[in-house]
Amino acid sequence: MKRASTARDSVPVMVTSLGLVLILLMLALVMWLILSRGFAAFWPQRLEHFQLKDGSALLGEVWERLETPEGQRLRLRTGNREITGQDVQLLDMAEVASSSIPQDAVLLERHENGVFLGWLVGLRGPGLAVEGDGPNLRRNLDKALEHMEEVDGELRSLQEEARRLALKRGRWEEEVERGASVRRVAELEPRLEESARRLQLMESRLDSLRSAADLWRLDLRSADGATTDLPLLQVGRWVPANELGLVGRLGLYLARVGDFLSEDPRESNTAGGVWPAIFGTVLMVLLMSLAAAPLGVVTAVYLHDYARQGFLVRLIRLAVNNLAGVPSIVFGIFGLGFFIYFMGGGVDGAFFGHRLPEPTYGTGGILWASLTLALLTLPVVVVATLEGLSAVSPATRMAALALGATRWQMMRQVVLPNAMPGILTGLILAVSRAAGEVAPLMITGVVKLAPSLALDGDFPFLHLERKFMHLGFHIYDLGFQSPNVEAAKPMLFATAMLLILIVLALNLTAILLRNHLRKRYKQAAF
Amino acid sequence: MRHSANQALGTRAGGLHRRRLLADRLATWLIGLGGLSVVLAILLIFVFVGRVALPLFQGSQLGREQSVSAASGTPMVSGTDSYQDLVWSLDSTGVLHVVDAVRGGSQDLPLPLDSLERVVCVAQEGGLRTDHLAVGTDRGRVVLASVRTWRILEAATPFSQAELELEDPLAALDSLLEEIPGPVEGLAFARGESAGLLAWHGKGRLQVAVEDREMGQWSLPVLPEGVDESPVALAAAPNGERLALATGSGQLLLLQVEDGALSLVARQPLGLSASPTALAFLVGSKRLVAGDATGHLASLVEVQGEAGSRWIAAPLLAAHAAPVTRLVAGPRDRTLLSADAGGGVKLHYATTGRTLVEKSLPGRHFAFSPRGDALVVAGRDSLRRVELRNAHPEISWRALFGSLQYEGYAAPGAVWQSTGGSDDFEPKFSLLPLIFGTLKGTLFALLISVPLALLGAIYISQFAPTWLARTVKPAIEIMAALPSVIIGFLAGLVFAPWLEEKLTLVLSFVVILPLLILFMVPVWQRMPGHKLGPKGLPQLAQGLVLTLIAFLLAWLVAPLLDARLFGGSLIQWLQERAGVVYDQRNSLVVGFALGFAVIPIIFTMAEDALGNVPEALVNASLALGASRWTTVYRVVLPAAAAGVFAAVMIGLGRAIGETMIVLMATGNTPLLDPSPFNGFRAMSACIAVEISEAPLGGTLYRVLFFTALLLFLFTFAINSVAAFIGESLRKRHGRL
Repeated sequence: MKRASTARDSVPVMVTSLGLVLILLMLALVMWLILSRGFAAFWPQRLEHFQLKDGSALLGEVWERLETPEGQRLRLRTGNREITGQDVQLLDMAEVASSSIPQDAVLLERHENGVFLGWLVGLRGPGLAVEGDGPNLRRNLDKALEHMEEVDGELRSLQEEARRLALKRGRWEEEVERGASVRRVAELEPRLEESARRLQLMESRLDSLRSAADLWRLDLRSADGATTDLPLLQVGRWVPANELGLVGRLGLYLARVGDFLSEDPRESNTAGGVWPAIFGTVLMVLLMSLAAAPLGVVTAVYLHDYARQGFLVRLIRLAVNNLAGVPSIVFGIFGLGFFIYFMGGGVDGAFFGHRLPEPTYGTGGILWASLTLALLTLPVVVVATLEGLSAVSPATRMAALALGATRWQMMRQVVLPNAMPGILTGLILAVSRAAGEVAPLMITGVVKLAPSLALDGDFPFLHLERKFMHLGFHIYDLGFQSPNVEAAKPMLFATAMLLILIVLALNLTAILLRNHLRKRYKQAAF
Repeated sequence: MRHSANQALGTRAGGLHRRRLLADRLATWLIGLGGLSVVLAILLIFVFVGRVALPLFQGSQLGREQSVSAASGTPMVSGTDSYQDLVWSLDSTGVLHVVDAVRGGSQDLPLPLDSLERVVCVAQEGGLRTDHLAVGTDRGRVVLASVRTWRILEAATPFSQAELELEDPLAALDSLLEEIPGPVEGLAFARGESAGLLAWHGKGRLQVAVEDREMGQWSLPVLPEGVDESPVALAAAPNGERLALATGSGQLLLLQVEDGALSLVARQPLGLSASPTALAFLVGSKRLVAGDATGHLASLVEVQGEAGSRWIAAPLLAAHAAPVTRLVAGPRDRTLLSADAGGGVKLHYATTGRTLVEKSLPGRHFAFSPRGDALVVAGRDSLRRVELRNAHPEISWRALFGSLQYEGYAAPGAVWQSTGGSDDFEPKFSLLPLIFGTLKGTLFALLISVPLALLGAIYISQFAPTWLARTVKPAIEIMAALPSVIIGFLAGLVFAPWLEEKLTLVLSFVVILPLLILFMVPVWQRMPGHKLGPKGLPQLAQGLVLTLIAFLLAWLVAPLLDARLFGGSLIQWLQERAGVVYDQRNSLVVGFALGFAVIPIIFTMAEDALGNVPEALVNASLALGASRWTTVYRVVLPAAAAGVFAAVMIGLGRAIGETMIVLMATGNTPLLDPSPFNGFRAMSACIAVEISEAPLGGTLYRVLFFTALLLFLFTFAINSVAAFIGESLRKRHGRL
């Protein structure tokens, strides 16, 4: 088919290739931007010390070197938000008198107020007081941090226990208020009293733990020479950033990536991790698959094997095509009106009347978001399943029927198992689409910070009415609704990279599966 | 045969067989049902979204009419509470009849008038819980009273109670007041948040009292020079800061209260041919309507001119056949009731000029319920309550798709502004800026994506070696899978700031690249060794080299252009010389981002269409001696034209509906401005941003559903056309 081009051809052909070149360049640029900045987000950087001409000093990580007509400028992450009021500053190089890389500067990752950059001065605790940075202080600091971690764990489990007890108590109280039988009330009264006593005990235990932990303080000096002390409980990790070798940095990098994947977000999502968003995304696509897969497969089976060619088939094909073309926001607004207000409102009226006007299902939640997305991804499943069904040769079908199988037996035992790669391809593509879709979710139940996961240890374990977090929405929220976009950028790129990697992995799997299927299709054609 | 086999196998196998058949039949039935589910789903979306939007166009109606009581005496003023539990009217002897519509029974609360003193005119200021009344008598007295209602919720059926509270704020001013030596002829009264205003006249004397609501003090300002003291109609603005007077010659005089002093701010003709008979301000105090003895209505609106504000004629309101007797402003929006001497009543919406309801409803006094969902009609013989369904009066085709003169705007315009800071806010629901925004974004996206995607598709389907096509296709598929939120975030946070800095560079690149190609054509054709090794990569490499050269040139030229032509910065130059404002997040940014998102769609479909052109056609052309390019240009492209068109249509559909990219890469300001350097607000983004704040069932909620319905119909039409083209193409090529 490809013939040698003649001389006159080469220019127009080159022009057509230009289109491809530009497309591929754009794609490469986008991928490189996300991946490079995403991977770099947690890479430990050197702390640089700048002595300014006006006598003041700054210590920070250099995030970006900007070339402006007025000269070079640095985007510097200086941390210490509670002191300076901002994490990231622009520094004009013209103002700098000298710069150095102080070996002993440290970076503290804190649970509040972002990072602290400075120098260690001393450590105080019950029966301990170390002055001056040195091996002694650092050894003690490590030990104390280990202790703090234990205390933190204990605090958390105690809080969790108290929360559960309070939840149970709330249910009992609700029962009494709603008018339980006299016997039941008599049964509940002592329980309520007992739980109140226990809650009080827990509170006092929490208080004493906190005040004991508060005795541990870390003395620090910041770049401007002022010393402050931090409660050690706030410190998550201390990093001697300028002393670390490659191995040390790599270890720290991995640890940070681990934190990113497993921790809750902190400080209006600009720090911490994205675990709830990952969890919410996964649970949402699982629920969505439960709805989209059967419906999509059945539609495809009907179109391919059951329906007689004719008006109805053309109608269904038209519907599938159009469903694929309906803007996602229309699905969203439909989900809001139909699932949330109409169905959710109905469910509330029938089963949760006692909580009204506070809506239970009549407001955005993971169930409604999943159903909305199931509708949105239905065409993807249908189209891929159709391809899978065509890959099963007519001969195979005939053989099954000839053996006396009914049509349903043929479908169930021969055709569907053989079409499985196609079905899976469709499902994977649907999941990939759902993982990246944001607009319909924004109005059907995604929030920037969900108070609790939709699946937890509280009865009935799976809370379909709860709002949830989503990686795609997390990106939108960080980039466009965050009060401090500059400080959120590393998280933003890291989240974008995570989402892209998930989508890439899903799509590559789908492509491989489909290639495998097509190969078989070719064989089946013989 | 099967039958006999079953008999041979005995009853057990027969049962099995029957079960098998049953399962089969059940499966057929279920699968058929499932197959229809997609059709049902799309129908459900259409019907449901449409059903929510439909009430916007159902208009307003007057519903059930209920006679509450037979009136006693001549009703001067009437009203109801926000639950419509109580309906009351005040008769000319100064007795307030309160009728309990829930429990039955009534209550009479008298005003302290002298025994023969009669009420001659009343001004009313409605509120959710309290109606303030100013009552003028035939002895020249003015009494302020309020009807206060409250609801008893503890009862099995909640009911309301009312009391009459008297205020004599003018007592302290008694010595200053010059008595009007006859009956009060006209009266206006209003209480805003910070100011109150009371004006009355009789026997050629006009009295105005103003209230400082923070201090709770009344004072008597001096009337400005030249104010006609015997107006034929007068009205106080709801904010308590304005007084309008209509003279017998049809002149309008507007008085403004500022710091307790009155000033005359406007004197202009009302635009009526006969003598005015009624005057009323609408909610927001920026619209004024007057009626005359021939039944005509004039509507005026305050607009911002260059020299401050002025009042101009607003849309005409439908005229009555008989003299206008009463004008009553609606409590929540720009709805206005006008009644004529012949018993005809019309409800208008002042912003659009639309007549909402027209009915014969004889009565002396009309009042809206505080929520605007009922009318109270007080006639000589009865006190009636009439249901009013007026949920979306602000909607008309003109409001949605045309220009309207809004309050405070210099000229009529198509404006989208759905919510405002105060209750007085005039909602503006023109979809034109949104549709314009969507089309603008789509246009820029197509300008960038169509050439690139089509060129790339031609190259891959016709010229590229197989190995290249096999690598490129998955890459394009990955590109299609990139979540739009990521593209949007890169566009908004990375590309937009970069473009702002490098605008000259990008624009010169876009100009230089085609010029370079044109320049290279003769050079190339003269080059003897233009065929460089195996095909495919070299062409791609040539393209790459050309791109790089063009970029390099642009990179060299851009600073020169900036320095020599644009005085340092193109953006500044644009603003100063051309008056073009450059927004960081503008249509160019969207064009690139949205273009990036639709490229893979157009590419894949176009590549498909080009690749499916029957080989016989291509071979025939080549056999006739046509070159490869001529074949592509003259044979393949025309044969696949419809498919390529369908590809562009599908890309268009996707661009129209895309939400996150336009949300993140534009400033989301609803503008009607074709400049590529400012942003816009697209329909999809508007829905995404505003729906969560729209109250369920409200006008905004339904308008957003209507917008979604439009989007749905746009894309439905586009996709159906594309599908139709694809199908007919398949058929045609199938025959070849």
